[in-house]
Amino acid sequence: MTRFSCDSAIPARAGVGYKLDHTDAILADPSRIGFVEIHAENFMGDGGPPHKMLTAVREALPVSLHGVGLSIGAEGPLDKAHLARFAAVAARYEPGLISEHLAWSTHEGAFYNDLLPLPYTEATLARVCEHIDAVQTAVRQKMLLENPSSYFAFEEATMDEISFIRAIVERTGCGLILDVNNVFVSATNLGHSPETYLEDFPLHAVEEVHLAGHAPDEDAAGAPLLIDAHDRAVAPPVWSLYADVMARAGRPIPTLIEWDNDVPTFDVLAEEAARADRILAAPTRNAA
Amino acid sequence: MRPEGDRSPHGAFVAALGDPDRAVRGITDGRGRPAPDRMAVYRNNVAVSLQEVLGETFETTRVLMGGTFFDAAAGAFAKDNRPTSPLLFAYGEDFPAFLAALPGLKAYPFVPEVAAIEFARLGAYHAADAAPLSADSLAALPQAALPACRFTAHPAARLVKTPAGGLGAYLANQDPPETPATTDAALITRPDMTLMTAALPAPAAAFASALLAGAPLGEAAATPGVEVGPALGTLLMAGAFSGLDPGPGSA
Repeated sequence: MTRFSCDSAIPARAGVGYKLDHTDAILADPSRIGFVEIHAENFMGDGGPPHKMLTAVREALPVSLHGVGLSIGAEGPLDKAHLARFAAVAARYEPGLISEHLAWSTHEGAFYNDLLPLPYTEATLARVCEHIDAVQTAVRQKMLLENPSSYFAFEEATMDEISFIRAIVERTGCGLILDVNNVFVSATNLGHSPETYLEDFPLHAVEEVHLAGHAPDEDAAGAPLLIDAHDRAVAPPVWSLYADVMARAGRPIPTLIEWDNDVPTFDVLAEEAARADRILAAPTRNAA
Repeated sequence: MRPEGDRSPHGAFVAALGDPDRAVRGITDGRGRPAPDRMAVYRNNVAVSLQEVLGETFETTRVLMGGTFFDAAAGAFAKDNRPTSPLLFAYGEDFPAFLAALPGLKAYPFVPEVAAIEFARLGAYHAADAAPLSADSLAALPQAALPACRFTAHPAARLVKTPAGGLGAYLANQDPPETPATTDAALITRPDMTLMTAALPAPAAAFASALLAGAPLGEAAATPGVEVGPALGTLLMAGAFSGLDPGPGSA
């Protein structure tokens, strides 16, 4: 039984990353989007306008809670105080989905404000699973893990990313966020096929999809290097991969438009969400 | 936080984040080419994102310093002072002191004061909500009880001393600009959802400092030069308190 007028469950529609500046525009017509996703750390203050605005939005829409600072891949144990804050945000806003990244961001008490990469080995697998268990215990809810954007490969890796993610799902029972932009970014940067990656991805465990824009760059050898910048519209090849994977999934999956830098008006975000909604409507028809 | 002595894989990684001359071993472009150059993506992400966090928190400070100087200072600060938690709205507490020690700002001592005001405002923005104490609560007390009564500081109340003119510089760079009659100290409050920045003369600031620290009114009123009535009125109007303890012996 939720304390909010709006139910917690995330519908199989498109949502957007919540920006405080968009509060009035969202509340003017919440039906334009299916949900908002919040970065948990932005709502860990004691009070003030962020909580007041999010509470008003939560009355109108379900919330997906996305952590960026739990550091699931950290070498050391999870920060208990931060995990408690994360669980408190979850208890306060009753999110329909809870998620974090396959990455690390803290080491020896310092926070690096980025999603840092892991080599895929038995040792890192065991550690990530242990940390996911700790999160799921703290929030008493299944968490989703998001596939990363990769800029290089580790020679010490003993398994590929898909095998690593499949093993995590099997061992912890967690769900997944499939970030299609990350798939495209990693495939371009590491020279593999995004289509093959998506064919192998354990779609049955995916409960949310992320779409975002990326920035083109190149490495010292002149090879293309895409940056997961979240600073522009979703790129055409990512839309294409998204449509393919949704058709194959055979069920509409809640989909988030992420746009965190050079943030446009809510109208622009809502239009991107509407485009995802049109694609989401297609597999529903196919499955019927 | 001692990457020099930290031989773990992540210790080596974070040491390389802060130093372009340190390579991370065993990374390739996925096609077999060793690609230590690609570490630059993470170096840049970390450096630029922390610089941007500081630029947003210290927006007016950045205007006063100019973007180039500020970004260089923020970058240098961030390299040696990583956030100690993922709560980035708490990051930068030591930045005003860092600025105060910069040789290039020695002639502009008001700039670190502006930074201190901005950090205090950020703290007030995220502080716990509480109803401010009304002037009526105080008026209800018998005159004889006033000297012993103590106030509870509102969770958002902050006092920043600005003897070098930081408050004037801060207010002159807001929209619309303001020119306060006095700029000795800034009282920052958030009685409801809107931040307020009030100017206090030095005696009123000392009086406010004593009351916010929990001193009895009678003791704070002994502050040299303070006009108790107007000073208390300013504090109550600004919502600096959330409670009142009438003290021992009151009914």
